[in-house]
Amino acid sequence: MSDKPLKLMLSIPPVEGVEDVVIAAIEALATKMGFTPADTQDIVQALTEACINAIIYSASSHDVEVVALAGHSSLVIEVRDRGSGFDPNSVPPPDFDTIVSNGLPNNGGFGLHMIKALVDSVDIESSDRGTVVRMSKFLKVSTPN
Amino acid sequence: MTHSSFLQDQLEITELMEGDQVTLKLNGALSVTTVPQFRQSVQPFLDRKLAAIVLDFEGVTKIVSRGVGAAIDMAVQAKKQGGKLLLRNVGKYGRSLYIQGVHLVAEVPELEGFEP
Repeated sequence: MSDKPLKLMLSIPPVEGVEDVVIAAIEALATKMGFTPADTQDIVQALTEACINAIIYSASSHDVEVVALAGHSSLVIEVRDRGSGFDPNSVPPPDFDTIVSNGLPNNGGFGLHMIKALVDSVDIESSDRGTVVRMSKFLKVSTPN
Repeated sequence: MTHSSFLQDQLEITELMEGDQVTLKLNGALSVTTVPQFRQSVQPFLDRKLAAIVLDFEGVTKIVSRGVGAAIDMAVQAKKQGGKLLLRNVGKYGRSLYIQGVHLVAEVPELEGFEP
């Protein structure tokens, strides 16, 4: 068997709710790779946010592509849309002082923050031809007693 | 984005009044689709200025940051009115709620002493 990462490609229409199918597949993959339930949940939550962003903010009729690269020590997931793109640096980190006093009347702005907090590394490429969010989660090596 | 009726996320909310407190049991997805319904269902209890509104997450199958944002908004409103919002049975969603700072405005017993 090859040591090359196993590549899975899934494509979904930009229809809210359909992302659950891809997320269930990636959840099964992460579990099978040996991620802990807590780490698997982090992957599920980060992927949920990335898929939702691709579906609702990209405003594109093209499918959203999810590519997973399962290696021996890591899972890399790419979520690609063909929307009009955005500037990732224009999304400020949450201001908790303001949130505590004023709440979040428009609900938004937390998706990217969530993704960054839940996975080990995030890389975002965005242009007027679309956006790729690349998330990596590393398998923790258990040390023998 | 389009919606597909047969695949659309669903959220069911059942209420249990106990004196000056209401428990709202959430069953289903707290997603972009269901957040307006979530807000609409909780608002009447906020308007009544109850001492406590309890959101029971035991039946929640999915959350998105926008749904958590709505809960934060409700907690801030309840607090301003002298009441409080409590979240129970958050289970596997604890870390996501913590990252969004829900514990800063709402009571979440499962997140007391939580270390991310």
